[in-house]
Amino acid sequence: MIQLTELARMVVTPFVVLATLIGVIALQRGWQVLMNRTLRVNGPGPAAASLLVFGVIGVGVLWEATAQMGWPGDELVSLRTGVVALYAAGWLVYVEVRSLLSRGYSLRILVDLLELDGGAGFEDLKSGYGEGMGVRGLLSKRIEGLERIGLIRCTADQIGPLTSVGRLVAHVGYGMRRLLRLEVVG
Amino acid sequence: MSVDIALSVTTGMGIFFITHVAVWRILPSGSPRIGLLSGMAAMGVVISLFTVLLVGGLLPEIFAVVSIDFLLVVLYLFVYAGVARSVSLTLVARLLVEPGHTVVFGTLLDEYTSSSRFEDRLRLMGESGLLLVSKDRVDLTVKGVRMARWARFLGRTMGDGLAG
Repeated sequence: MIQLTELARMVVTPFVVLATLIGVIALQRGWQVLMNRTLRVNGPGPAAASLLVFGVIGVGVLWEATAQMGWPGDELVSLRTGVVALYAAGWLVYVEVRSLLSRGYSLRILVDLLELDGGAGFEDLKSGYGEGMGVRGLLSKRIEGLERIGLIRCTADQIGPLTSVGRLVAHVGYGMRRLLRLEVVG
Repeated sequence: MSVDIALSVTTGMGIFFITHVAVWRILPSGSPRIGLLSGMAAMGVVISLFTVLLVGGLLPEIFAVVSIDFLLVVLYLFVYAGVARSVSLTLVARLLVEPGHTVVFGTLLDEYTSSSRFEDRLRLMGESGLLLVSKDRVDLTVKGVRMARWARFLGRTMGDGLAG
């Protein structure tokens, strides 16, 4: 039999997770802006580190908050599992939206068009992709990213070879594309 | 307790994954079909929910099952979006077939420039009602303008700008 107080506590829980998520996102953004403006610390490395650290801080906050909700032992474990999973899902959405905004191919095309008064000739749009960086810039940016995370090694104009992790990622990705019969890819 | 949670999550998410692979293999498409995939994921969550109710799960267990399902669905949708559309993944997969897993930058650039990937993006955005694509011209629709403004605003607020 579900008690009314239990139900009320349960209804409140997702809002506690949401409030924590919003608070931690605001802190992480604030920290990143502060580091950028005062110490000129920016780029993907420090951003990834701050995302990890602030993400873990949020888990700690929720761990303590759930202890105050008065659930008995076994149920507290289930509740904490759910709270951490829900928070992690929200944090993942935040990280992915950031990544999409930073590297989104399609979104960049939309913004390029907006900055060209809403329309452009096909060839102009293609050659001017990403504020003029074009396909060359698009590829260079991704190759730099792949090298930075250790999937490939590059020397001058030569792209590759793949590292062992790079080979694994390539095999898994290619395998999934074949499994799902994805013929039109990025 | 934890066995009930694990059983419910595995059942719902397992059925979701098997259905996804089956449908994608039987009916291949050039479109990523994120809407259809999300619908299948929702079906998986409902199956998990029924399972945990069937084994007599209490409120915190029901909450845990739905939350874990939600996390797994979010994670899977992101992995799928990468598998379906990531340029970086295409690059590493491209290197895999080369002798010594290496290629000259100019070759990659030629392949990308002459491929239909750019047109494919425009076609998909046209199908989503964001663009009007004619033979040699591309225009934003009202929906496209709204989306582009949001993207630009969020890019400035949340990230480090829209580099593409």
